[in-house]
Amino acid sequence: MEQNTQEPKQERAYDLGRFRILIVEDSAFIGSLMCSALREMGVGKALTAKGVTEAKEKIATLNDNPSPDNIDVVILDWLMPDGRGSDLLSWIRSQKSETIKFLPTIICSAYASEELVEESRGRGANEILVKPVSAEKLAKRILYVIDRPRPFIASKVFFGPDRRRKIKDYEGQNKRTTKPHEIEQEYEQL
Amino acid sequence: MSNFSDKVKIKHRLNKLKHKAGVALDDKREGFIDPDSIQKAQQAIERQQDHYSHEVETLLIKISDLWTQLKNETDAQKSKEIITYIHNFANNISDMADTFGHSLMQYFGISLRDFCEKIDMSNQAHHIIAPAHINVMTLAFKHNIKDDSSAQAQELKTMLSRAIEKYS
Repeated sequence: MEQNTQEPKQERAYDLGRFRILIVEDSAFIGSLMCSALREMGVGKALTAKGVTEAKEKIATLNDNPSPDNIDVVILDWLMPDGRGSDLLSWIRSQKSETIKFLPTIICSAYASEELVEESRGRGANEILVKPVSAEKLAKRILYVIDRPRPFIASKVFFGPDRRRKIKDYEGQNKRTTKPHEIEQEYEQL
Repeated sequence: MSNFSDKVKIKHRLNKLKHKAGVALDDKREGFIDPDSIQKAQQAIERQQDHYSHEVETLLIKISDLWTQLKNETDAQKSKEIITYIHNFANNISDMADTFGHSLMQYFGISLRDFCEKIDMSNQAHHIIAPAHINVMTLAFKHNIKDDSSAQAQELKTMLSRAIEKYS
């Protein structure tokens, strides 16, 4: 008899009522538009920050220690007057606090250039949302960070989610240069 | 980053987000967001369209005022700050226009934003190109020209590209 190797199908909708999402966006209009959309989607709390400085303050205050009020996801604009989204991303990934440095981040930009994708991946972004913002795109990115978390890679030159997404049955060239004995696996315990 | 050893660490984290969304930590199944709430969220975005005109008008006035300020500014650092603001406001207009399908305004917003990345106040030609952007954006706004392929839209795009060609 043939064995069923498929994953069981989805059963229920996620309850986002306990989620805290920070939107870092210099346009108050776009920020409020995204907040309204997230609230309608059931997100418990959607916060905004108008720039890099305010975002750092909010993250440092709310995610200083593990708590139910921690921000769970940061959605950040790429271009802001007081700094670039990439600066904030680097700041997040360089923090000592585990509730900050592992924060899932979604870059939000109208620029969908290869350069932007490369830079955001290189600085440790989890996902990229290409503007214009729609409810469907927001939901999809949030689902990605919940359903498809990637392990974090910590090396001398990089800290962030694994830049290689798993491709089933990949038969191409192995581009990893790190030897197996140079890799240390670490599993978080309950 | 200097604290890292030569080894590469792969940190497998518990999926706390899943747990927070009401699912067991070890549950491997993918979930979904209630489609009705996604639809309501889209409606919430679309409702904001009522405020689009006011927002764009406010930003156009701000850009125009900043440009006047910039022309009279002698301090290089302050000039740079003003250009950054114009750049970001142009980008904001482009984002909003894109959200609500105002493709002509989006086109001009992107053009002004990109131009801000190379503004040189010592170049007199640039004193023509920036106001040319403000003029066509104001016209597109006043005449409510949404689509960038109409005859009127083409006329405005041609006006701007001629100014850019002539003074670049």
